[in-house]
Amino acid sequence: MDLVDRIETTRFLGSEFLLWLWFAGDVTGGKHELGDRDVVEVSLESQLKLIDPLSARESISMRGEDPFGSPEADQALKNGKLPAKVFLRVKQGENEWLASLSGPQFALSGIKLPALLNEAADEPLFERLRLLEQFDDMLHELYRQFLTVRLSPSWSSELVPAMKNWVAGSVTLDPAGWTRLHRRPGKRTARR
Amino acid sequence: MGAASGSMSVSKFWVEGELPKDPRRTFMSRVSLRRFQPLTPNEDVEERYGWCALGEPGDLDLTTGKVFQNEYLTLGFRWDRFKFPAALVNGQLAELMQRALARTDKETLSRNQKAELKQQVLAKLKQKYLPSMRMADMVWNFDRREVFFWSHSSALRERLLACFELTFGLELVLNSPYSAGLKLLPGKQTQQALQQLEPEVFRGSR
Repeated sequence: MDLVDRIETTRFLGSEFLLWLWFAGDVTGGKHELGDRDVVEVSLESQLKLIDPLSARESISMRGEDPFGSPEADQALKNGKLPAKVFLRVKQGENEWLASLSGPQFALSGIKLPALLNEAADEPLFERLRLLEQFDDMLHELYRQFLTVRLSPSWSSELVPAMKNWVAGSVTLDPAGWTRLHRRPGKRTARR
Repeated sequence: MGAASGSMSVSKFWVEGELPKDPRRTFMSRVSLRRFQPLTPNEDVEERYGWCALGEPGDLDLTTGKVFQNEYLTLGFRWDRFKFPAALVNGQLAELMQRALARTDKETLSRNQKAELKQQVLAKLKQKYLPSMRMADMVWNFDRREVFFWSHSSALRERLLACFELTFGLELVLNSPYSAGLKLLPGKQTQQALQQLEPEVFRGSR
């Protein structure tokens, strides 16, 4: 299998990543620990496209205040559809980024950066590039967390059953359980 | 919207291959060689692409100061082409074919004659209309070995990949769930594990 085939046959991971973010919103309120101290808040809002993984032509798109809480989205998940594109808001400290993220393509569009820290700077280009790279790093760190658990035994034994319950209507994983499942390998809680 | 202002829609690429010891010096001459050259109506060329200044399709005066800024290489990628509506080309071609047939006793024209007439139509249209222009910014962070390109157009990206490889001798790999996975969790084990993954079914039990 060549690189192009590998890329094409693993695009479903992008949709699973968006579903994981959506699920995290209901379990942890969208709070994710990145590294030792950084916490980012991810909220999905206003735009949602769901596709049938077996037939990408079968899709539904929703826009509005909260398409993720709508009965249509609920039913689509129960019918096996997965998110293909979402609008997300990512907050880290005082900074806030907005963008549409297409999961299977891993493509960002309509990115709105936080207000420039130094509006009067001679070279706002570098400030914009720095903020873009910061956003990109956060999303990739989230994806790394997702992929680490996706490739671990706890994906099938714990996370998938919890996500199936959530799709069926009940949240059976608590924030502590989420943290345990997504702890970095090698990072242990200090013994007292 | 481009790198310098407005909201952003970007494609991300990973740069594969070894950078030269002094990329600024090595790359400046190569960028100059691939600088965009405007199309002219008398050329037998339908399209052309190349580099221009960041955010400035008309600025083809590429200096080191414009191209290299801090740890970044910043360029615009411009693609011009003569593209005419099919109905316009076919209409004018039909007219020329009728005239050509009227001059002969034959009922049809050969394939070569038709191709020649089509070239005449295109040459005439080129004199009359300007080429269409597309441009998108490209920013390459040398330290991170990443390129951001301000377009999602597959046609534009395809040409960027070719131009980038011709200019810098390095390959660009488009970001995707698979390529990001390999970058974030490198190693043979991850590669094998990624290849073996199957889509999960989350459908509820109800």
